[in-house]
Amino acid sequence: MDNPTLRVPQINSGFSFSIARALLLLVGLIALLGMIYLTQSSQATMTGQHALELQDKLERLRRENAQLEYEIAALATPDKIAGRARRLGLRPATITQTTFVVVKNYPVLPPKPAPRNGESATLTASSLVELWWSELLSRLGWLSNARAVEASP
Amino acid sequence: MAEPTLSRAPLRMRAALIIILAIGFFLAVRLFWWQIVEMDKLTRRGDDQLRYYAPIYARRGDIVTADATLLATDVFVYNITATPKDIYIPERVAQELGPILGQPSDTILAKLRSSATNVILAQNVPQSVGGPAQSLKDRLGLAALKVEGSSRRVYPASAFAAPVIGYVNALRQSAYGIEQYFETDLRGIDGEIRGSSNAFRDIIPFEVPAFHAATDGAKIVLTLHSGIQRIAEAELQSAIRETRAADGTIIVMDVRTGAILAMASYPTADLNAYYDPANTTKYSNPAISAQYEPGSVFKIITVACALDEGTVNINSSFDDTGSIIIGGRLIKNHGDIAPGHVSLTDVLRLSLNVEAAKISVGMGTERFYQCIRKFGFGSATRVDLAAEVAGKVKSVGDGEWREVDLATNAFGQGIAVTPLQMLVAVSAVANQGKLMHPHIVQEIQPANGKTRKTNSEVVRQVIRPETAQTLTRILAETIIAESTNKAIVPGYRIAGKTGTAQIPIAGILDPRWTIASFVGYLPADDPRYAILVKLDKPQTSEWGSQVASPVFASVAKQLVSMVGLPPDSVRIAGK
Repeated sequence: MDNPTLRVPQINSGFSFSIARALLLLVGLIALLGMIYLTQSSQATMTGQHALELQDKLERLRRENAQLEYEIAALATPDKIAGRARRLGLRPATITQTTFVVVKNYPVLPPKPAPRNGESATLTASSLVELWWSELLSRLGWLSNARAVEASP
Repeated sequence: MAEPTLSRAPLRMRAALIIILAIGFFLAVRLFWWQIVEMDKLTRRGDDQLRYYAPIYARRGDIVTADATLLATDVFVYNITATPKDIYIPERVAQELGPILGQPSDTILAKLRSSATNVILAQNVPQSVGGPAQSLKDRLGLAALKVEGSSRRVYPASAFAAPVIGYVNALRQSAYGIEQYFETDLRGIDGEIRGSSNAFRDIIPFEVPAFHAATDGAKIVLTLHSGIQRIAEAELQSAIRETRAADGTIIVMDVRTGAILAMASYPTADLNAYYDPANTTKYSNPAISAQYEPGSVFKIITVACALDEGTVNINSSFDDTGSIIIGGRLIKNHGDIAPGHVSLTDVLRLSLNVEAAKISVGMGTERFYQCIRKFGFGSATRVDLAAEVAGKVKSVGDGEWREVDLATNAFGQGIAVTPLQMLVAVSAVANQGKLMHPHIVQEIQPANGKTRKTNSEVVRQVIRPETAQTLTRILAETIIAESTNKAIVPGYRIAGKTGTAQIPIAGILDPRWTIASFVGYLPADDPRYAILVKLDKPQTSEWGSQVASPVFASVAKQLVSMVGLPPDSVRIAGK
C-alpha cells in the first residue's frame, strides 16, 4: 500500500490575512452599527411603550376624576343641601330677620372697567409672555404636540 | 401505447402553448389589476392592518351655574358582556368577576353557563369597576369577555333647570336648551394615538406612537344662580300643587343687564331619564317656546306707548261706561264693571279693558304697532337657548288683522307672546326705557383658548327715561292702593301688573280656563329684579291677582333675602 500523500494547500499568507482582517473589521463594524441601531430602536420602543402606559394612566385618572366630580356634584345639589339644612334645623332667614347697618359716607369703589371683547381677566406680564408663546406655537402648529408632551410626565 | 404521430404533435403543442399564453395573459391582467388599478386601495388595507389607531375621546364641556353648581358633565361608563359558549373556565371567571362587579359569583356563573349567545353582566358601571374588569380580561386572556367603554352625559341635579339645560342622548345627539344651542362649543374635538399593530390589533411599540391630544369641549357658565333657581322651582311647584294649574313658568331677570337669574318651568323631568316615553314632552322650555295671550299684563306696554307718544299723561282722566263698540265688536270690562270717572292709575289698578282699548285707538294703528314692536313683540329675543319662538303680532293689511284687534291687543288679547318676551318688555320699563338683550350664558371657557364673556347689550331705547319713571310710579301706586294686594312685599315698593287671559280655542275664547300671570319688578325706586309668574289653567281661582300675585310676592321675599337687598327704609336712608 502506497503512503498517502498529504497535500498541503499553498496559501498566500500575506493576502489572506489582510482579507481576513478586513472582513473581521467589517463584521465588527456591522456588529457595532447593529448594536447601536438595536439600542436606539429598543430605546425608542421602550419610550413608546412607556408613553402609551402614561397616556393610559392619564386617561384612567381623568375618567376617575370625572366620576368623582359627578358624584360630588350629585351630593351637593341645591335640593340636597336644602334638605340637609332642614334636617339640621336651619331655616332661610327672612329679610325682617336681617339687620342692615347704614354707614354714612362709606367709600364706594368705582366699578372695574368692563373687559374688552374676548378678554376675560386682567393680563399680567407673565401671562402676556405665556400668551405670546402659546400663540406662536399654535401658529407653527406645535401647540397640540407640546400639550401632549406636557400631559405625559 | 401508440406513438404520437407527427401530424398530431404540433397541434397539441400549439394547444398547450395557447393555454399557457392564455394563463399567462390572465395572470398578467390580474397582476396589472392588483398592482396598478387597485394599488391605492390595497396599500391602504395593508397599512390599516399594520396601523394602530385609538381615539382619545374629548370630554363634552361642563355646564355650571354662576355660583359653580355643576348641572351637566361627562363620565366614562362601561358595559360588560360575555359570550358564554366561548368561556372555558366559567367557575374561575365568575369567582374573580364577582367581587369586581359587586355581584354574587353564583349569579355570574349562572349567566356564564346559560345557553344565550350573549349575556349582559353589568351596564353603565364606572371606571372603578370597568378598569379592574378590563385587567381581569387581559390577565386571563378572555376574548369572550367584552369590556366596552363610552362617554355618557350625566346631570347631577336631575330635573333642576332641566328645560334650560336640555340633554344629550346615548348617541351623543343634543336636544333642547344650552346643550343644543351651544353644541359646537360643548362638543370638543377627539384626539387619537397612532402607532403600529399586529394582526390582532395589539400595539407593537416599534416607534414612539403619535399622540394628538383631544381638545375638550368648552365649559359654559350660566347666569342662573342656583339659589334663585331653586326658589323659583320650589315656588312654582308649590303654586301648581295649591292651584292645581296644568303648568306654569317663573322667570327672574336682572333688569340692568338682561341676565336671567332663574327660569323655572313645570312640568319637567329628570334629564338622566330622557329616554322614558313619559318624559318626551317635558324638556321643551315654555318660557321661550310657548306663546300665549298675555292678557292685562300687556296694559303696561299699552300705557307705556301712550305716555311716550304723549296721547295720555299722568293727569289724564277717563269716563268709563263699562263697554264700548270697536270694529263692530262689543268690548267690556272684566266683571262688567263701569267705574265712571277714573284716572290713568285707576285704569291700571282696575285693569279696565275699555280704557285700554280707547288708549290704543287714540294712538292709532301705526304708532301703536310700531311701539309694541319696539318693545320686541313679534320677534325673537335672541336669547341663547334653542327653540325660541317669535310670538305673533298681527299687522294692518296682513289679512288676519281686524279693526277690533287694535282694541283687544291693548289689553293683551289677540296677540301672542312668550313669557320671556313679556318679561323683557316690562324690564325695559324698569330699566329707564332701555330694552336689554336677555342672556343666560355668562361666559364660555374653552379648554385651550380665551374665555368669551357675554357683555350686557342694550337693544334699543324703547321709551324715554321720564316715561319709564312715570309708569313705574303709577304701577307702584296701583299695588300700594290696595292693602290686600297679594303681590305686596313688606318693606319694598314694587311695580307690577296682574294678567288674566282667556285661552283661544278654534277661533273662540275657552270659557272654562284662563292663564293667570303677574309681572313685576323691585325695588320700584331703583329697579333691580323683574319677575314673571305665569300659571296655566289654575283651578282654585281664574284670576291672576289671586293665584299669581302671591307667588310673585313669595319669590320676591326670598330673592331680596338671598341677594341681601336692603328694604326701602334702609336703602333710601343710606342714599
